[in-house]
Amino acid sequence: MKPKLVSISEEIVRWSFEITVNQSEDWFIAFTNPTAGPWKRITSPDDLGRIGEIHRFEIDETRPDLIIVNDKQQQVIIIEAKTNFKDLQKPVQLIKTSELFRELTAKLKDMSSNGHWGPRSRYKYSLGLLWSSGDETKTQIVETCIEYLKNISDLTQDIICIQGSFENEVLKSNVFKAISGEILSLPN
Amino acid sequence: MSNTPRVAEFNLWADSFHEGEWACRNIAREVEFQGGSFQVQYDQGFIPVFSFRINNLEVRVSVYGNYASWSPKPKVLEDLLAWGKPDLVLISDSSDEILIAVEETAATPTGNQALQRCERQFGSAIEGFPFWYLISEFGLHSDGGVRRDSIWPSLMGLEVMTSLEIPSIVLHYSDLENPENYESGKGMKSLFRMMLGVLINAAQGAERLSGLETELQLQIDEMIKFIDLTSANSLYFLPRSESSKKGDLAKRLCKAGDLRGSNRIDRENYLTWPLARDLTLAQKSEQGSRELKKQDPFARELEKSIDKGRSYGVIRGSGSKPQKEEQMKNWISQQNSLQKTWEKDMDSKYEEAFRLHLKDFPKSPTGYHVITAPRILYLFDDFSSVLKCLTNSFPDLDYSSLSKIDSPSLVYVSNSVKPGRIFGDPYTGQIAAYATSFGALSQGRKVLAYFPHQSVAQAVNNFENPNNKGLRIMKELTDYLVFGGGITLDMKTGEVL
Repeated sequence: MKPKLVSISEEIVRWSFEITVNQSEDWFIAFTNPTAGPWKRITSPDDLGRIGEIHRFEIDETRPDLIIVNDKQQQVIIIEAKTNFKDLQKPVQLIKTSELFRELTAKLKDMSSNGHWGPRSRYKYSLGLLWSSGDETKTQIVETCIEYLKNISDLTQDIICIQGSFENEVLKSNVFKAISGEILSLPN
Repeated sequence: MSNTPRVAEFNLWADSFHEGEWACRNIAREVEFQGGSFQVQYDQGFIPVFSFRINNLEVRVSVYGNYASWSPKPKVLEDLLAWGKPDLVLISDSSDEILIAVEETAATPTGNQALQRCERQFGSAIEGFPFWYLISEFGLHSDGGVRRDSIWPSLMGLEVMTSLEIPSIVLHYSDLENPENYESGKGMKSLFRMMLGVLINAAQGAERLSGLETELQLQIDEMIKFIDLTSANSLYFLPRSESSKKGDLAKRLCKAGDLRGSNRIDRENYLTWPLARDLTLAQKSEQGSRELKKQDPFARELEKSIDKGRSYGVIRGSGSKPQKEEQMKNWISQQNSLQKTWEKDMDSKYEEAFRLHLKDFPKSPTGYHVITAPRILYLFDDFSSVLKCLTNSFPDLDYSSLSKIDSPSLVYVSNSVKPGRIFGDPYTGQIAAYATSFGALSQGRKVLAYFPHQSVAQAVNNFENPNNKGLRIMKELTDYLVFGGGITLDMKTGEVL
C-alpha cells in the first residue's frame, strides 16, 4: 500500500532540491547534512575529477545543511534549511547562520593550496536560505534577508532563497534573490 | 516464452531520503555487477523509485524517507518503530511483510554509544524480523586516535540468532588504514548482496533467505572472528562456544526458524557462561572485591559476594563522570518528590525507605560522583545468593516470595540519578545487550536490575504505558527491578514486593 505525505519536513524540501542539483550539469553538491549516514564531510573533485575530502566537521561543530558549487559561474552557495520560514526568522537562528556563513566562507577561502578545492577559494560565496512555502509574504522575506545581510554585508550583497512548494502534485523549488527579486533558473 | 519481466513492488522505508537512496544505489551497483541494469525516477519530484532488472525480473523499490512524514504506515512497521527507528526497513508492497531491517552508523561508536542501537537490534528480534547492523569497525576519535567497535552488538546478535533463530547480523566496514571508509572492509558489499538476494527471493515468492546460506555463514563467521579478536578489550574472558552451534547456524536461519514461541528453557545459548565456582584459577585471579565510590548497602553486598565465590564480574572498566551540583540538586529533589507522592498510596513499610541526600555523594573538583558498585554487571551462580544480598542490605523489606527461585542470575547496576533516564539511552540499550548476551533469552537465567538512585514510582506509574520503550525492553528481559531503598518491582506481574 502506497502511503501519502502528511507533513513536509526540512529534509524533504532539501532532498527535492538536491535531486535537481544532482541532475544539473553545472552544479555539484559538496556537502549535505542529513540526520545520519556517511555525509559528514565536504568533498569536491580535483582537476582530474577525483573526489577528495577537503573538510571534516567535528562532532560539535556547527554545520550548514547544504553546500553547492558551480565551477562555470565560479559560485559557492552555503545553505541553511528549515521546515518553514518562521524558523529562519528567529533572532537566534539569524545570528547562528550568519556566524556559520562567515566562518565557513573564511575556511573555504583559505584553502587555495588544497588540491581538491584550490581555485574555488576565489569564487563568489553566497548564503542560501531554503524552506517549505507557507504563508510568508514577499515583504517578510525581504525584511528577514536584510537582517541576515546586516551581519555579512562585507561578504555578499544578496541572499539566495530556495522556496519549496507543490505544483500539480510535484514538489518544486523556486529560486530567487531576495533583495533584487531576480528569479534564478538554478540549478539548471 | 514472454520477454516481459515479472514486476514486483517493494517499499524501502528510511530514516532519511539520503539513506534510502544510498541503499538503493548500492543495491543497483550489485545488480549491475550481477549482469542486470537499473533505472531511477522521482515520483512527485522527490520519491526515488528504483527499477532493477535482473534474471527476467523487474524489482521496483520506492523510497519513503522520514518516517513521521507518511501515513498510513503498515502496522508491522509501526510495531517495529516502537522499539526505535532502524535506518532502513524493506517491506513487500503487496503483503506489507517486513523483509529486512537495517541500522547503519557513519562513525565507530565508542563507549556507551556502541550500546545505544542495541535496543533496535533487540526490537527487531522480538518482533521476529531479520536485522542487519552495518558499523564502522575502525573510527577516528576526536583526540586523533583510532577506535575499534565494541563486541556488544556482535555478541548480542549471535545470542539472538542461536536462541531465537532470527537473523541478527553485525557487519563491519573500514580498516585500520581507512577508518570510517565504507568502501574498505567486507561489510558494505556483503549487506547489499544480501539485500538484493532477499529482494529477488521475495519477487519470486521464495523463502526470504533461500540460496543465501553461504553469504550468511560468511557474515556469521566474520562476527565470530571479530569477537574472538576483540573480546579482551571488554571482557576478562570469553567462554568457548560449541563449534556445532557456529557451523549450522546459517542453515537453521535459512530454514526460517523462529523460536520466539518456544519455552526459554528449551532454547540454546551461543555462549555458556561458567558458574563462579567453575572459574579457572587464572579467571579467579582477576576477581576480588573493590572499594565503592559512593556507599550503598546492596552494592557492598554485591562486591562481598565476589570474595565469597558466589558471583563474578566479567565486564572490564567502569568510569565515573562527576555530575554538576545544580543538576544533582534538581534531580535529587525530583526523585524524592516522586517517591513521597508514591508513598501516600502505599503501605507504611515503604515510608522513607528511599530518600536521596546530596551529602551522601562524594564530591570531586568538577561535581559529585554517583558510582556505587564498581562494576556494571555481576553473574551469580544462583538466585538465593542475590536474595541474601538483598535481605542483608534492606532488612526491613520482605523478599520471602523470591525464596523459591533457583537459577543462575545476573545483576545489572545503573547509578543514574536523573529521573526517567534509565528508560532511555544508553541504559535500555545496555540492558538489551547485556541481558541478551548473558543468556536472558534462554536457559532461564534470572535478570535483576538495580537502580539505587531512582524512585520505584517511575516504573509503577508507567508500567502499562506502551510508549515507554525502556520499560517494554525491561519487561521482556528482566525479572525484577530493584529501586532506591531496595523497593523491588516484579516485572512479570507489576507487583511491588
